[in-house]
Amino acid sequence: MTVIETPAYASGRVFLDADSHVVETEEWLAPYVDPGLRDRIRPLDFGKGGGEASRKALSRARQRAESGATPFREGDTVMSAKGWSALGAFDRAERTAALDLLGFHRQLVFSTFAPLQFESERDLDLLYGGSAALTRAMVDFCSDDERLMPVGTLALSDPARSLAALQEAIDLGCPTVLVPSRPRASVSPTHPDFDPVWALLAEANVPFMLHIGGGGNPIPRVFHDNGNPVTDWLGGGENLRAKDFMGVHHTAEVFLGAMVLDGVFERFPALRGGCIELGAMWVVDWLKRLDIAQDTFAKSERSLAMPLRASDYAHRQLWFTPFPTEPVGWMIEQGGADMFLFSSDYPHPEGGRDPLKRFEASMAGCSADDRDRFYSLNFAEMMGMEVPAP
Amino acid sequence: MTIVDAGAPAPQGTYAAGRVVHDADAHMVEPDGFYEQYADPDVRDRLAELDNGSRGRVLDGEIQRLLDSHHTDERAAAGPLDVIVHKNLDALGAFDARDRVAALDAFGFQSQLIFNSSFLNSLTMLDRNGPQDLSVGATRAHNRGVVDFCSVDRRLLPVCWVPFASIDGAIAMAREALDLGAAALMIPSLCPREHGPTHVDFDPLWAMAQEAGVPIVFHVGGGRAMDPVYKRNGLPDVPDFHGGDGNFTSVSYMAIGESPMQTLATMIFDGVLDRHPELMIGVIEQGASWLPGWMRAMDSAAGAFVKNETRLQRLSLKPSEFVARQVRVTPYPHEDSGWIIANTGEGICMFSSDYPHIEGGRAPLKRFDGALGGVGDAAIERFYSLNFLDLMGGKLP
Repeated sequence: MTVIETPAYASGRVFLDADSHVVETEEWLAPYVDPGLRDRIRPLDFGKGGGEASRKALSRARQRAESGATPFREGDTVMSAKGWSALGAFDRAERTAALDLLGFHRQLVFSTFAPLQFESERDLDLLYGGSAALTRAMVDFCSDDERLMPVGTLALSDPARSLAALQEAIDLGCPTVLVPSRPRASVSPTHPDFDPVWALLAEANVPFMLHIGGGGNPIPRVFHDNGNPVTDWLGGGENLRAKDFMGVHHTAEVFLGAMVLDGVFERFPALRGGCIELGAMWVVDWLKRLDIAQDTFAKSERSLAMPLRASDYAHRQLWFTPFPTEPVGWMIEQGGADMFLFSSDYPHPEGGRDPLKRFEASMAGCSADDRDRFYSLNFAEMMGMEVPAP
Repeated sequence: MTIVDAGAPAPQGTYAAGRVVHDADAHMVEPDGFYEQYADPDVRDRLAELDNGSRGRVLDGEIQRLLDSHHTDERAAAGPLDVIVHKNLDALGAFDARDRVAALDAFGFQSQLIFNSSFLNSLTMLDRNGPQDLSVGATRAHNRGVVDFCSVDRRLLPVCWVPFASIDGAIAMAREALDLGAAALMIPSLCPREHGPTHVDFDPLWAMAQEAGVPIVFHVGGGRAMDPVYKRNGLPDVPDFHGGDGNFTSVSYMAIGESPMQTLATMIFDGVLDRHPELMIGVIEQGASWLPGWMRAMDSAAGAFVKNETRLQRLSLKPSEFVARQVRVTPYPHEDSGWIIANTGEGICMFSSDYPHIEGGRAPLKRFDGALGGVGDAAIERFYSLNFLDLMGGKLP
């Protein structure tokens, strides 16, 4: 493949990208599913239009691999092509080329569509089997390039199965795992039954991740029945819209609040977590509300008498990715420079064509140290790693 | 909006002595069976079986015992500060309207929005799950009850309920409530099952409230409760804020702003506040720490989605500017109101006592004064009175 040589999109500092994606094609997950489940796991159905688009993209990628042709049309940049059309959306060799052009030194890689094949299953064999398959697929996708950091998938419906699945993900080399932000078990994620899971994550130096989609629909669908339909990002009407955006973090906010206030981070001081593509504007007041909750309810809830302020656990053990449209400078000023992470969302359309420009526009008043934290140091702390050399 | 004179400072000897204070959140505390006396015959027996119903018991003796306990010589001699330390059914004027006038005299507040205490959850669940005839009957009983309670003094401002399950029904009930004398219309922040709360067919309701100069209000209890699985955490059960087994705990507190934030953002994005520029909205007893981030998040959403969403292209203001113009919010006394005002402007936050609920505490003025330490005099005047008058359409009761 020939890629027109251009300066990398990002340069001049270390960029660690806390959010990017594989954009799966229809058969992408199948090879990784245990044979006993292969016929039972739900096929990936993009509908007529999506299925055709994904097949065409796959066909074009195969032709490129054979001919060495450039993937870009005239005027394209690595950040302008999105979805299946993006370089490296589903082909790992192309993803390495894309990363060269992006100039990012590390990139967490999440899935896009594959969880739809199992995440709503009540049958735990399918739920955990699908999760394990996706973990294997992500590890494989990222296996040729140390810059690509696969995000495994960990269901939290059954503590014993979760512990086993986590051990498998760690053994495969997963540096982090995605967990759902909406409770799926009959007990809270903060129940001591789940303590072995949090303990193993802490011990293995593997942070957990929350991500958009892990909490189900951001808002009840009926909010959209307003007699005045709108299109979404992709021109349809079913993806993220402005009203969804306002509720997108709600399940994560409650999940993390429960983790702090029920003492999980106190019990496991080495446990760390990331809250990804859920915005971060809410974090500023959430920190204040955590402390208010601790103060206000301490009389009736003795477990709130923890050694640290509730917000200090968040500062110590949690990190968040703002959207590029959010005022990061204000968030750093109000919430501190230690919690917010750069992310590109590559190659999803929501990341935009120039996220660095948008982030920088809101960070005019930030110091060089603030920027170092935002673009690399906070990510390295979250992942328990050293900042790579420029 | 023209603001009229907010009233004269409270007389010496009152709790608010020397200040002008309007109270955006207070409650009547209904004894069991309270609403049955206001119910139409066809629903009276069914109301008796709801959470705060009489269940057929004769309650006169119990109510008289409570009333007698409010009028001991010891309490009469203790003065205004004694009034605010008694809570719930033990409070002066909790359910007796004439006693409430005496309590208000002791406080020296200029006016007080009056919400129910024990019925909002029933009203919200009936609206959500039906049966609709009982929802309508319970609403009528509630609205008659609160209006009657407030009828003894112009300073008491009744908040009537409007269920949202039926659009036509909501419009009719809003009309009925306004005719009855509602000072504010309380609607659920919980999304109805069959249509969005911003469906264009609701427009006559917003127009009606705007024309009447009566605000729409959201109150805690009218929204979605936290997922109850979070309570199954393997730790000993914690008593809730009231010492009982309710759901007002540290973890549920974290989710308290979710429903009003979502519903109000939807109203702004879908143009309800743009189409009705004098419609005022109150968000009551749901805290306000979420305001600075929420207002910025809406502006961020508008910027991110404007390309594809024509409703955002049509908005005449930034979403946060609609909030500044038309939304008023009550912080909790334990929140950092000074920080909220510094990050949202002086025109949004309002004082509230929550009398006679425990959450309001025994010294709300002292706590709010402490939280407003770094705020200027003009902002403090807005907080204690002018922003409330804005909410109420510039009218003194």
